[in-house]
Amino acid sequence: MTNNKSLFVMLLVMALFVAALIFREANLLLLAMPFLTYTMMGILRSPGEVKLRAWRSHNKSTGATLEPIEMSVRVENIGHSQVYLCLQDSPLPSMQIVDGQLSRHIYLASGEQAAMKYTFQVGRGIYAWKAIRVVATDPFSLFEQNLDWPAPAEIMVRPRSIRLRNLPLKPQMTRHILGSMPARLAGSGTSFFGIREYQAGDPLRRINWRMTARYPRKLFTKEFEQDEIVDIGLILDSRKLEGDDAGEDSIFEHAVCATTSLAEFFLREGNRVGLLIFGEKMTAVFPSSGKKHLFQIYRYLAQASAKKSIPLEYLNYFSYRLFPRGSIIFMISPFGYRDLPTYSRLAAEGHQVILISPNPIDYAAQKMPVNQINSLAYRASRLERYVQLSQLLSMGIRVVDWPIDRALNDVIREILAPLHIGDQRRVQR
Amino acid sequence: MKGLSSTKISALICTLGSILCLIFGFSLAGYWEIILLLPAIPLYWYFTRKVSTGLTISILLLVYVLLAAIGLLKDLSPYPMVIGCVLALAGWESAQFLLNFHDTSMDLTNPRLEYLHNKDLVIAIGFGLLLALLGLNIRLHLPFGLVAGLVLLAAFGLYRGLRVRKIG
Repeated sequence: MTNNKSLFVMLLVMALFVAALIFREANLLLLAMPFLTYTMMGILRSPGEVKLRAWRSHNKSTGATLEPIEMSVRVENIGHSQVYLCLQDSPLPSMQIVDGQLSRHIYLASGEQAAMKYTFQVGRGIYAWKAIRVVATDPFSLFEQNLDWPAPAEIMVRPRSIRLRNLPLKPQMTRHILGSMPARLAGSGTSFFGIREYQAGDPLRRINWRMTARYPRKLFTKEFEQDEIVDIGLILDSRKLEGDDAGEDSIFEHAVCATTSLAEFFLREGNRVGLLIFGEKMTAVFPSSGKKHLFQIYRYLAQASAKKSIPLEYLNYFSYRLFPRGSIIFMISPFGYRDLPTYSRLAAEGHQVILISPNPIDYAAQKMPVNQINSLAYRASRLERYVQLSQLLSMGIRVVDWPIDRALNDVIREILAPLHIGDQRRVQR
Repeated sequence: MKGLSSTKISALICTLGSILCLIFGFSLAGYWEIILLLPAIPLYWYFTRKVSTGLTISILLLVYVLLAAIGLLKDLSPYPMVIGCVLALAGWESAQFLLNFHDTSMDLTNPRLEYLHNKDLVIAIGFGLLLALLGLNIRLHLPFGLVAGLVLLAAFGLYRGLRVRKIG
């Protein structure tokens, strides 16, 4: 296939030919001679049948967001003739090349190999390559053959996550398997639960000597709270929020980060975790535990994207089947007033609902110019949100209003810390 | 563009050699105005620095070929014109080759690419120069129709050669 370069040379040769004929000047033909031999050399050395073998390798099949990933594309010439090649790899959306290039010119004799290497960073997602674009050409790049040679590879870039520690949760219902969540039952945990009269067989180190001293003829034993596993449901609200930009600092990306962090935390503690990505396209992962399950959750969260808005009421058809009764449901959503009935229904179904709400008001306020009107609008929106969140609290739903510039772990710990009587209406102002 | 020093030097030498040949050819016949070409080249580079480099160097080649053709039509000595044109072609090809590695580093594990390119270029250009110089020394008086026929045959041969190569 000719390209602009060969076309230019041929037009020049033709122009010299025509000029020689018009002006009857034979020397002009001689001027075209080097261009002709140059073109002939290109024709003679242009690639005939190209036979290659191409394959990709990367240093990690699973990477974290913006973690450098090294990609290597190797090409071997399995044909009998030498080839000049230009390897071109297609860039991924939002890809940043850290080192190397996406194209490379190489010369390969028969049986030789060469590699093109580059290091890149990319946001979360599952990225697949099917082929490598190979442009086989002559030494002067006059005549080209564009070939797409199969070289498949897939990389999953998991979402960002924060390491959460010691979330103060008090589940209402647990599964009777040893775990790490306090089960409101006396057992073999570490948290103090109560004191009862000594029974034969109780270990002596559990005797409460202070109580025993008060009642000389009786012995008393300390009881500890049993730790068990719980069913956790994570619901990520992937409805497009008006004013939320795409990018690593968007509200949605923070919501994905929070969901990933929670999944990691609860699965690390041995609990069963289910996931529902609620939006135009619903994606569900049924509750399970273990590393393989975490990897599956990563895959779904890596592909999550904010799409057009639909009513949260559709959730009613899913939550019932997906999450066992008594599950702790973490709803990760910016929250809107139209969503109230759905939260009410979730709570009525016997779930313990906790809303983690990345605060969209603060997020939007950071982007607006500071003036009196915006300041008033900001205050009004905050008040409105406070009222709406208070309505949720009155339904018995715990609310973590998360300003995204604060550490999630601190905010959750602050809000979900053990409650005292009369402390129910704790909403961050 | 590490590792491409020989191509860079050859591109520079060929371009300068081409200018000098053309200036020499025109100066011999008393066209001293051509010396203005020397300061015109850097000015041209300065004013076209924001335009695509590939286009800029192609326009420069076109200018050199045009000057050589004008020189031949004005019955100036053909040797500097032909040599100047050949050097311009060599300089243009070297510059185009360098453009392939714009913003990239030449892989030192495959240095043969540059060597083979330069070798093929020398063979192609050298052979073309030899034919042109031979042509200058051989005078055949052919009728116009025959010359036109030969030109058409050459053009058709070029076209067929391309077609065959493409199908192959």
